[in-house]
Amino acid sequence: MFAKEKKPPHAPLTCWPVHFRGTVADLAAETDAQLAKLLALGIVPGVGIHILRRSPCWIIQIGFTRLALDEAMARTILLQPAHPPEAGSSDPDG
Amino acid sequence: MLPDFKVDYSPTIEHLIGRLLPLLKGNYPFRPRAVALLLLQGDREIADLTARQEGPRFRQIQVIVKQAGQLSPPLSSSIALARHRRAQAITREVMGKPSLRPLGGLVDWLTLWPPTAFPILALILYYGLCRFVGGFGAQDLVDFIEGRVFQAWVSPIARELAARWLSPSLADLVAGEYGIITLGLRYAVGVILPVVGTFFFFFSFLEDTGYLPRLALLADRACKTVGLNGRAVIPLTLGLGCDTMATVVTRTLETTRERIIATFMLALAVPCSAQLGLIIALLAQSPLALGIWVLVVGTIFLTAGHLADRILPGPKAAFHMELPPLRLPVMGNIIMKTTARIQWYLVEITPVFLGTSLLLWFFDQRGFLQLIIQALRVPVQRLGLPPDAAQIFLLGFFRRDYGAAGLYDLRANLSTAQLTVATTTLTLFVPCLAQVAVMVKERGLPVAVLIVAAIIPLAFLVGYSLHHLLGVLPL
Repeated sequence: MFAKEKKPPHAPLTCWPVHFRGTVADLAAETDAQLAKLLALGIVPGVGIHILRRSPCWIIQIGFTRLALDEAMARTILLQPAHPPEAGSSDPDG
Repeated sequence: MLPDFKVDYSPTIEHLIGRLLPLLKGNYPFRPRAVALLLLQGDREIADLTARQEGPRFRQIQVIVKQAGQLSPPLSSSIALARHRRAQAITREVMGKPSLRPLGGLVDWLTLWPPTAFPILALILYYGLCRFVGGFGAQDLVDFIEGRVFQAWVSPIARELAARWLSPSLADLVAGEYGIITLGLRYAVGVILPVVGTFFFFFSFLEDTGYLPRLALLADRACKTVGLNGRAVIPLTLGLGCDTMATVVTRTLETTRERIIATFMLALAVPCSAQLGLIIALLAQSPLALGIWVLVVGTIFLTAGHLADRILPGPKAAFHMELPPLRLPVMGNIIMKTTARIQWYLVEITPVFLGTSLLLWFFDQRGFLQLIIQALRVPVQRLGLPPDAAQIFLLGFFRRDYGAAGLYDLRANLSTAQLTVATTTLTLFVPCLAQVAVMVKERGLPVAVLIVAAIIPLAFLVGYSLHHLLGVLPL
């Protein structure tokens, strides 16, 4: 939806292991409402995400916020590995 | 001086805003730039307002908004991204670099790790709901307010004053068997208030510790089997306090589909605390009977929810929730929240209870109640129960616990199997009249009628099957 230029490989959040730190590469929301929800939660391309748990629900950390998401919602977030200088930062511009 | 909070959007967006601004000449509650941004994001409410304010210019506005809608990536995402960047820049200025913290604290971890999280959940629900709300609220406090204050003081005084000053018919309306004071007010203040008051206290406590979102995420998978998501655990748990109030709370669910399913589940298979207490007392003599009741009501809850999920159209609601860190609550805040909620409850629910007693009084005056009792005798006998039990079912409709209380008086004449059939059927049977009134208010008449029409035959069918099944069991 957002990706235009060539980027490192990305995959749905649900494909990455626990403790993985990545950045949001794109959002694969199926409806406008779903996209609006993700954006309202602060999940926008470029932000850093740390996966904390996958059971009983997906739990992720974005900046100072911790979010619980179900499988269907987590699947719409496409992540790519965070670049070393960006690791630990949630700022899209580094 | 306030810092400049202007967000710089991409040239495309700024260009579109620039084209819209000269067309926005009406009166708006906020700045034209904000109106233009909302229009570009497809906000319907602001589009309606603009249509009214701008008259013929609205057609030109629509053309620009339509062009904006064809952009890729979607404009709402680009706007959100620009705002997020601006927020990040402000955060960086005032807070320094945000760091990603791992899950902190052992307790926090234990409430999320499934092998410990579910036992902790069970303990919290047992002590919170069964001991505090069920024991302290529904028994000790109800005994005091309803038993000592109302039965001993308020009702007799109301009866005496009404008899002295009012005509017999009006006296009946105020202080008769179904009187506004002797039934409506007594029920709202004497029975429901202590129960929901303790429930609200427990609920605010959970909320302030940050545990509530954990409860929702632990219940998410179970809720999904009945077409709901973890968020629904809040109204469903509230239903164990008062189903009428819980039906109002289904407003917090995201989609109409979820609200209908939750309303249906509350009406069918979630017994309220007043009813629950009496049912447990009735079946306490036989653990097997209590086990059967739990099994049947639980199975119906899951099956009916699953079917409702299959039948109702629309997408399933996704679950997302912010997870705040666990913290020690401040007692002052909990009391403040509880008080605010009790006030809300009194304003919202008390008129329903008063209206219910008004309706009952009217039915009683016209002799309708006796007619319905006669009509109910046949299905009640089919359940293997004495014809007298028909009255219990009718009362159960007007007040769920009143039905169970009537059963309590009849229990000496009933076998354990009959009690099991009667309590199960009463649990599933139509919610109380107050709940039906709220169902109509919240979901609309057609949905409420459909729900009630589905529940009555289902409750009797389950009771009928259970009666025949228990006939072959040594109970």
